[in-house]
Amino acid sequence: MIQPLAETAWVQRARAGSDSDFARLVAAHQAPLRAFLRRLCGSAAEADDLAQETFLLAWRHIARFDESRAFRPWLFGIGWRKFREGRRSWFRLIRRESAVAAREEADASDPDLQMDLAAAIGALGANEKAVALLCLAHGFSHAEAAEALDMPLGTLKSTVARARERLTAALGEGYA
Amino acid sequence: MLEARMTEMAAADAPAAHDPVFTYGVMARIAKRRQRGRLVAEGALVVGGSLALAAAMPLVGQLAPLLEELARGAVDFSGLVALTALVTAVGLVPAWWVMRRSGSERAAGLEGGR
Repeated sequence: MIQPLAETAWVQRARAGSDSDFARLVAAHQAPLRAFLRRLCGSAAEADDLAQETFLLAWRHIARFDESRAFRPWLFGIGWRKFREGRRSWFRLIRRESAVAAREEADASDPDLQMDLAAAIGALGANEKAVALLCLAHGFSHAEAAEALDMPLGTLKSTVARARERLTAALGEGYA
Repeated sequence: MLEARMTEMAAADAPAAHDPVFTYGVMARIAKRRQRGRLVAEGALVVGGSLALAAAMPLVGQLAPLLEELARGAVDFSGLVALTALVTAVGLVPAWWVMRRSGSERAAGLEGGR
């Protein structure tokens, strides 16, 4: 767990041009960001590329970051926008679809994996999936998720409810 | 229950919490991007300096009276020295600076990246 004060200091020094402090931010946030993007993309390699681009973009625009806000929603917001940009590319779409198909085949051979949950999440739309991942899996508050996904708070709350409903319906009442 | 399983799944999706290779990759790309930005800025400086020098060339025409005075042996050398110093500074110093910076960055291994 990152101490908020330490993170604020790293952000301030990174804004002042410190590469070592930016590297600390990368080290602290890379695992959850990559996990989020991996589940969105369905491909670890593509997600890791996207995560690298996200950090590069964060580095380029860190001067615009409002220090009074939390760093994590801002960073995940960049990742989300990069993911959506990537989805518009036809070539990436083909690659992603084949990667998802390959992953599903691989998962199907391993009964220990949470196939039911993975399949239920995979069936959600992109917005619902992102909202469910941030709020239900990564511990984002509604306000943080709304900021990251650039979504009005009310819309986000209804999307969380809808995603939860669809997941529960797919997994059975025991998950409610 | 749903949150617990989602959190479990996110933990399984996550790579190692400490992944120095990933962090190094990001920082190497940043170093490369920064170097590229610097080279562009330095290139613009050299081109700008050269253009300024070219624009200053008509001033050379004004040297003719000075040369005549030089031929007559009645010349004030301070003007000539100042003009030479100016031309040298405008044309050569930025080029030397760029070459020196590129050399030191290569020595520091900053041209790496993905």
